[in-house]
Amino acid sequence: MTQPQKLARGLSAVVLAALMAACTGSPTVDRTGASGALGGDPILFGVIAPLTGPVADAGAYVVSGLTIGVGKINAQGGVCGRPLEPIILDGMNDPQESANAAENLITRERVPIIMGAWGSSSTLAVMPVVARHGIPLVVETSSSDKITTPGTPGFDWVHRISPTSAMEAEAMKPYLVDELGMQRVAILSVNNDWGRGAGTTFRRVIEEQGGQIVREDYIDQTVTDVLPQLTQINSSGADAIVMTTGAAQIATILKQYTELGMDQLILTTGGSNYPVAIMQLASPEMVNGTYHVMFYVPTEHALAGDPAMSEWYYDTYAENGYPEVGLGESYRGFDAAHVIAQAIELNDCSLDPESLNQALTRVEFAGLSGLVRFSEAHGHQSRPNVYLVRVDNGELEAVSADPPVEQP
Amino acid sequence: MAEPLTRTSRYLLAGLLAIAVLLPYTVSDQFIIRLAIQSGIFILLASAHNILMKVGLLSLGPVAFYGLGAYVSAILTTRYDVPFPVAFLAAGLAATAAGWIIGRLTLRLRAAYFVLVTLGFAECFRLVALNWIDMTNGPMGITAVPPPARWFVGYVPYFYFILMLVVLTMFGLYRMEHSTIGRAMQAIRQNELLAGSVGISGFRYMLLAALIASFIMGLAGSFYAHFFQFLGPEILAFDLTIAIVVMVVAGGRATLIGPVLGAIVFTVLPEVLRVVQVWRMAIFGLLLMLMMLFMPDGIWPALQRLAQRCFERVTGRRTPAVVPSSFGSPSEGFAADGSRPPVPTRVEHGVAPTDRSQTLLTVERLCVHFGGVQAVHMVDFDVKAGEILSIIGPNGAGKTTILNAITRVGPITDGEISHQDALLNDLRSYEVARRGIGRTFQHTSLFPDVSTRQNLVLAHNGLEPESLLLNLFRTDASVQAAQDAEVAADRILERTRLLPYGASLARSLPYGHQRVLELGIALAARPSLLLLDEPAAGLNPVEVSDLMATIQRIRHEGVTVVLVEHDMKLVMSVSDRIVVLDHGRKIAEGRPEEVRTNQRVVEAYLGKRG
Amino acid sequence: MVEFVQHLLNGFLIGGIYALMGIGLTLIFGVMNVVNFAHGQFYMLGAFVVYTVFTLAGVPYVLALVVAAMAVGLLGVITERLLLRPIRDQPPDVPMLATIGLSIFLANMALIIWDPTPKDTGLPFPLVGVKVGPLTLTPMRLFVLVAAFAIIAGSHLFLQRSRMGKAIRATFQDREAAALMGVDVNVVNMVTFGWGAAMAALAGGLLAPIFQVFPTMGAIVTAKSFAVVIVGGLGSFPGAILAGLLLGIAESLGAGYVSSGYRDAIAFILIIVVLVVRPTGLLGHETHKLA
Repeated sequence: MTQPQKLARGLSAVVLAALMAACTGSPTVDRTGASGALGGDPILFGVIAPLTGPVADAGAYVVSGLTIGVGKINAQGGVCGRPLEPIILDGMNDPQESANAAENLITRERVPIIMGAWGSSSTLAVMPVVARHGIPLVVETSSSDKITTPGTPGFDWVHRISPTSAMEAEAMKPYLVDELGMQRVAILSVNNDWGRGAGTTFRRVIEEQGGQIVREDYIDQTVTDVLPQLTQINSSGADAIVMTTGAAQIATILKQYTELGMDQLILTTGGSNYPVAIMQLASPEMVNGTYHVMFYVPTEHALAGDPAMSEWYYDTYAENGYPEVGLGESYRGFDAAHVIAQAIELNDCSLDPESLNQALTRVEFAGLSGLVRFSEAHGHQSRPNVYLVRVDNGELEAVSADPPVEQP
Repeated sequence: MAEPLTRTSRYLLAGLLAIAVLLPYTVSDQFIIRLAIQSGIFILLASAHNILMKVGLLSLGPVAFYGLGAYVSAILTTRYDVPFPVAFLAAGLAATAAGWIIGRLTLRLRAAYFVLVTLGFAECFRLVALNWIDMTNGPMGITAVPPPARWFVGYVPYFYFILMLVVLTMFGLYRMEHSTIGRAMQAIRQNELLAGSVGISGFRYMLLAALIASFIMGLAGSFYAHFFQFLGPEILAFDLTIAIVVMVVAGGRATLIGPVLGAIVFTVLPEVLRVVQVWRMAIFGLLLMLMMLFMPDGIWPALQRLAQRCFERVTGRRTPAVVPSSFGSPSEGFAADGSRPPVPTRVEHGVAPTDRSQTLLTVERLCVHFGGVQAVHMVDFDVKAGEILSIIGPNGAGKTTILNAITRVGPITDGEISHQDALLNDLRSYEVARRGIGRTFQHTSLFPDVSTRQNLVLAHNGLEPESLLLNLFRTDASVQAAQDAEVAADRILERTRLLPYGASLARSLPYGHQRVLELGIALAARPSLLLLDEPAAGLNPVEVSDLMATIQRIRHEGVTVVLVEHDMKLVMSVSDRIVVLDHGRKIAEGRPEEVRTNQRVVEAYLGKRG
Repeated sequence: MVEFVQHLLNGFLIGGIYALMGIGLTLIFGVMNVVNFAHGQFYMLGAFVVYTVFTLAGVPYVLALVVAAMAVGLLGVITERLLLRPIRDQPPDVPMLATIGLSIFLANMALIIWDPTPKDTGLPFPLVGVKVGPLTLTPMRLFVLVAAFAIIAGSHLFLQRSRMGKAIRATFQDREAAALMGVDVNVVNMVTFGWGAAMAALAGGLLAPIFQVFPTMGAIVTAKSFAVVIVGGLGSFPGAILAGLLLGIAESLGAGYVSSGYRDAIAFILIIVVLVVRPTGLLGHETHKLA
């Protein structure tokens, strides 16, 4: 080999070593400084959320709710006298990125507990990682029932606050056909596990009640032109459309629904369907008269698990200048922060992951979305409230029974 | 023949390997092991993708094979309880099959179109994975993909598994690069048309590259599925394609080390960039742009250049304009001690002087029409063994068109061309070359970015054995082939008096030497019939007489020559017979004296009087 | 039957926009031989400029469109000068990767500048359906269609009648010959790229009120634009129009009758089929096959 070649090889080795050193060096994340006033080292916990990518808005909302929750906890004395501090990593709603983030949080930041990772696929990819290391995972948004199915790697370590699609559908069962009068139903959902899961369960429930599914369409998250689907729905004679997708896409669909002058009954599900957000992206007129399945109604404090807290949250959220549309999802972060705090306290302030995992099964927290208690699926699934809400002249009106529907 | 790897580099390699093997025991940070495993996957993907780059193909489809391998392996193990080793192999084979199908359909397309059609395939595949719920579970994904074996606990077994795969792959690629196959690929990447004219089939090697690449990617996909234990359609996202392509191009395309470097850098870089959270991807995009502006060759070649400049500054010595080489690039034929293999003094060739009366090539009623233009119309002539036949005529007469038709680089509308009683019409250009028909081109046609000597080594390729197995292992045949190529190259360098320029880049040669090199390239393939297309164009009188002498010497060694030329002095002095064309038709044929005085020929050149 | 015609109409409307995107790209591709992966981001930026100018600042819609075209066009010119011209002579994958880098950069900068929350631009024209016989049409979409074709017609005139247009066409045919004839190829490249970017921006601005505006809206658009260019034939102006309409209609019918999930596959399947079967595209001229 010639001299220059040797030198090149040496240089590259140096470059590589430098890179590795940079990687192993100082911590690689920023922290939302929530410490300060309280004494003692902060208690760190991990958060994996989509901060960039197509669902970055949802991630931002969840984080804002989390931030308010952590702030409230710290203002009230922290956890065991120590301030709580989240380490938030970008999972990008991508399985590989989220799994890497989990690894990072566990082995480098040494967090005893993690909240994440928003999308079901990301959460399912994170689960083997937490299982490998034995770290509990609090799931705040994902809806795939696989997450709380025994046998899935990591099942023993997950505790899910958000409901499965099956829970949603079951709770809505008494209303769909009988009260709302759905007979011939079209399903229009986003083509991912969440949309398909909802489609499957709602289909089952509607058919059990004597209704009929005349059409099922799954559209990619990026689709903006739904005229073909709506045209077909029109000609199929449907009298109702059940939609499961994000607020932005619902708004797009509603716009084109209005364009075509359609009049079918609209029901949105899934929990990322905050009507205020839809109204802002479409228009109040277009949303008037539509129905939505929600787990938390920000304006109806009486419906929350803790009405006083709901009122406080609503005001604080506005004071912090967060966008109003984020109310529809930020509660997830808020509830999750409290769940984590309570688990640590129930665990006698120990941060040992294994006992923390056990402590989670004893958590009982009246939060924004209802009473969080992991009693289902061997202590891994909670049952949040599920409401049917109607939009009337820009106001949200609960249709389902008050107090909240008794869960079967 | 000299060893491409010197003793020093062998020690270095051994050292790196030792570090890699001991990594899990020296580093306690699990995160680094995980990162290393992911780098390993990407090294496989980038190196495999790089094989396509080696033949000059840029594909945006790698995720299709990767994903296919992952899904095949995951479905077989979760749904059908197939044991992992079988599923692993099946993944590779399935990907190879897909590569074959797609390759056959698309490899004949040009550059940008090939890029887009591969993108199309990858996206279609992603949509199938997303929507074929019954088979792939669609967006719900496949969970609980089992580990390769029950004892695969923690990261360490995965680490060694991927390390083994990487070492095997790199070794295979290294062997391939230093073989006939590797040299053929280099020739194709440099100049596909020229490669065809010396008997190297662009399409076949591209297909081979596609098959090898997809096989490796399929295996990598299987590994991924069993490592992550969860598989969803996200694996097929375009972002992954970009990541792979960036790794290859930014690392250094077509080199051996480049993709490895790229894979490591671009696996580690996003983690390093986590500091800047939201800005991470924006910075990444910016870095990519900057890299294309300032280091378009890639990181590895840039490092090599940097090293060379540092070296020169430090030692004050200037090295000649050698080509930056990859880690053990196709051998430049220098032994460890800098000497070169001995050049035999006897002239060797495979062709004996033949009987002049035997017909070597027959052109019958040849027509080549382009739309309404009759570039060549009803042309007949023979080429007798051992003669020098010239084809002359004014510009646009159809001379090059005829050469292109013979070598099947250009179309034939009607008529037949036979070589030793075999019809050439349906052959491809490389097949024509392998029958012993060589040519030069009107416009300078070389392998521009390799050395003069390497040009000749590459040109020898058509005479070497092509089998993959033969070339992957250091068989006697492969060693002999490489040796023969070196010997032949040296011989031609001597004969063409290009020896002093042996190590210079072909495109840096002065024009006259380039033309001589072209001739050498054509001769390296040992043709029995040589077609020269205006070899004297642009040469000064001294060079023309050299050329004249060379042509005569070639013929003396038994090679039949067909010469297309404008230089009348040259034509008249070397030709045995001359064919004259005008506007696509043959207007005269005969010995030089006859043709010179032929009335129609004079008119064609000078125009009719009156 | 009625729904079939409605599908055709829907497809036609969206096809006009595809055509607009395709025309810009086909000339960039044809004149500069660059596979511009950032094309969809210019579309996205056009939408954001319209949002900023029309929705936030209250400037009249049509004027906002003009501003969008000029701003993004200028960005295109700068991009060509700073990023693409220096690497023009590199192998084709280098400019391609450079535009990929640009695409990532622009999408993520948009994410930082305007936050990830999707935005509604408000409606310059009503979006309520008007029944024309059994079919439904809205004034907003009608405006989009008319505007798209007006822009296309304007571009055609520009290419045919103006000096710069002729220079562009000459460069497309034969770069060397054009340079020898005194055409400043540098200027031609800048104008072509800027103009292509402006067209994409206009497409984005026109569709913004109908859909929403968010930073990741550009990604799928690039791929569809390529489908239009390839199916229509490289460098063919009428080909891009025809292919754009065809793609819109095919997607509409496909999504309506076959399957929503595979809708995006239609573009890619068209790319594959055309390239394998008829590489010159519907109306293109050059051959792109290996001899």
